[in-house]
This record gives sequence, structure tokens and C-alpha cells, in this order.
Amino acid sequence: MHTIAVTRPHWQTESDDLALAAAARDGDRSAYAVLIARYRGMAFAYALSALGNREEAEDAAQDAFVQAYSAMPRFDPDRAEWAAWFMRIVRNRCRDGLRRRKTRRPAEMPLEIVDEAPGPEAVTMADDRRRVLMQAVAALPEAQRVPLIMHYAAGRTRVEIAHALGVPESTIIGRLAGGLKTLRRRFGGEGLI
Amino acid sequence: MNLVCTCVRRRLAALTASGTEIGPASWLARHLAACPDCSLESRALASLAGDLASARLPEPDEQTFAAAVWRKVDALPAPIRRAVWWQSPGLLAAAAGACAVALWMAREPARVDITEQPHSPGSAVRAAGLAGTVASISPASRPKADLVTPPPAPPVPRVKKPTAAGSRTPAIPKLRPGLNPASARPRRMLASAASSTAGSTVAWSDWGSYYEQKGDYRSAAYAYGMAHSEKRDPTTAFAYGRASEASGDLASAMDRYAAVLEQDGG
Repeated sequence: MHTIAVTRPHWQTESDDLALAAAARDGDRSAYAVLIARYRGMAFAYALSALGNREEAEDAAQDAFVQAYSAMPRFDPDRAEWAAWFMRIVRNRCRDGLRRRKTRRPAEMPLEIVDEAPGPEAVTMADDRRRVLMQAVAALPEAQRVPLIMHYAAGRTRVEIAHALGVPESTIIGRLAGGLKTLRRRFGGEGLI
Repeated sequence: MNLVCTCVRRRLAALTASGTEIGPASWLARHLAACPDCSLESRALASLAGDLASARLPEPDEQTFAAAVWRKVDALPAPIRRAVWWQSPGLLAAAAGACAVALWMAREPARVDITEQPHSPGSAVRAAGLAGTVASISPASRPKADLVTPPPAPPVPRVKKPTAAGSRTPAIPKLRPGLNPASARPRRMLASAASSTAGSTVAWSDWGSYYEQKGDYRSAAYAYGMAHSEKRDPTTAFAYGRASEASGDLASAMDRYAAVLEQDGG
């Protein structure tokens, strides 16, 4: 007899989220700790792709959790899912962070290039590629940059990204395609790709 | 690059972004196998996606992250309970006062200009259009400028025609000098005026018309009331009601109008 392990995608855990949010609203910290563990990666991925700075992204994600915790009594489960409500808080925190800065676009994305078998030459090549690619990604408009990083670098599915950004999945596919085309045009004659 | 290449390249990025596999039997796969430029573009996009996928986001440490969140939560100030306005005695008294003022202002009667109404007994009452006349003198249907515009000229009180038995033409009575019809105590003044013209044939309805044109509607109502008590006819009853309404005595006005509408002359 075979046992099939089923990993539920995050949008199917909404009922769990509501139960956890209700428990957290009643003062159960352990329930909110589960929510933090569940949405920490998503919040940080969005904040890092939007802000381009690791420290600022961590601060924004933490502040979003704090704000959501203090605003939990105002959360209405009939009007919005908890994940959508929380990600709206994350987006607003990142928007506030960008507003405080003079430059809204990050200079370079702090991503790490992972090579399967890094040798000395490969490391040098990886560094070059990393620098050029991250600069190009950072130069993309936010609408294309955020889905591109969340999908390829953070490994989030298109549905999860659509859920996080509050847009349809088709919009995410269009933005991903637009970002790929922009990068392709940029590196078309340089031989990077 | 022909038209098919253009269509293919428009779709390649979307296919790569959506992760859709190109079936080997599809027209797109056949075109990619036949067109080296489009094939190169497809491989370039796939390579770009692979390069992006080889990048990794640095993940924050779970324990450190959660600890920082709880530290910030604990540093939050205690929630401030906002006072509800109806729980504050001062605001409650202010609201009650505002309601009282609003009610008092709502019950203050508006002055109505009725100087355009006909004064002659023959034309005052149009029985057929009485209801419309009553509606037309409602305060809301009057322009405000009419309320302050005085009548153009003081009227001359009319004199009843001499009866067949009358031996002489009565003199037109004049108001006593110094008596302002619009001044206070209209009833006493009217009584004195009536006593001064005792024996004359000036009708109370003429006095009513006079005071109505002067804008002294209380005196006009009083005069019309006296005329109505002498002779009960719809004309006088309607004028009585009109002056009563203009003076603010709506209850009396409604009684008069109702009597007129019943065609019994009050």
C-alpha cells in the first residue's frame, strides 16, 4: 500500500489561517507564531524584491507582522482572506519604505547565484554574471521585477504571487513575460545569455 | 523574419513565463525546428529563465525573525480607548442644545406675502380654483424677495354702496393721525378706530384688506374675523384664513379653509 504525501498549496490553508487568526485575535501567541512561520518567506520575498535591500526588507516584513497583530481585531474574515489582508499590509509597508527613500529603484538585487559545481573559473564567471544580471533585474520596473524575483528566485508559484499581489494569475504571467522580454532585449547583443 | 516568426516570438516569452511545454506535434514546435532564429530566441529565453532560477533569495533566520517580531509587538504601547461622544456629559449637553435650537427654528412660521391676492369681494374667491390658491400661497412657493417688498401704495378704504334707505353718502373714514397700523396692539387700535368711525359704513373686510396690504396680518385677521362674524360668506372666510395663515395662526387658517372648501361659508 502506497502512501501519497500531499503538500497543500498555501491558498488551500485559508481555513487554517482563519482559525489561527481567530485564535491570535483572542491572544493566542502560538497561533500567530504559526502564521509568522507560514508567511515569513512570502513577506520577505516581496519586501526584498520591492526594496532591494535585505535589512530594509526584514524590517518591513517584521513591521507588517507587528501591524497585522495589532490590527487583528479589525480583521473581518467575511471581507478578505487573511493572506490577502496581510499581504496588503506588507505592500503598504514597502510603499512607505520606498516613499521615505530618494531613489525608488534598488541599485542591485541582493540575490545569490547558486552553481552546481563551482570551480575557480566558474566562480569568476558566476560573479560577472551575477553582477550584470542583478543590475539588469534591479533596473526593471517594479511591476515586472517583483513577480520575476518571487517566481524564479524565491520559488513562489504564479498563483501564490497573484494571491500576494492581489491580481489575477494571467496578469502575473504577462508581467513575467514582459520582464523576460525586457531582459532579453537588454542582453541580446552582449552574449550574456 | 516573416509573419509566422513574429507570431512565434510574441508567444515565446509568455510560454516560457507560464511554463507551458511545447508539444512536439504542435505547429510551434515544427516552426522552431525549421527556423533557426526563432529556435535561438527560444533557447535564449529558456537560458535567461534558468539563470534567474539559479539565483536564490537570502532567507531570514526563522528564530531571529520571529523573536524580532515579538520584541516589536511587546514594545507597542497599550491601546488607547477612545471615549465615545455620547458618554461625555459635555458633548451630550451640546448635542441636546443643538437639537433644541433646530426644533425651535423649525417651528418658527415663515411670513407669506399675500398682497398679490385679490382684495375685491367679487374676485377674491374663485371657488373652482380654491384648492390651487391655497397651495399657491404656501411659504415654500413664494420668492423671498416678496416677503420684504412693501405694497406699492396704501389703499383707500372702500365704502359700501349706499343702501336704498340711506339718505346721504358716508364719508370715507380716515385713520387717526399718529396711529401706525403696523404697530403693536392691533386689536385695541382697531377698536378705537372702529369707535371713532362709529356710525360709518366702512366694512370690516375693507379694514382687513387695508391691514393686509400694510403687512399687519394679525390686524388683518382680526378685521376679517369681525367681518366674518357679521356676514358669513366664503369670500370673507377665505380672506380670514389667508390673513390668519400669514400671521402664523395656522390652526385658525386651516379651520377657515376647511369651512370654505365645505362651501358653507364657515
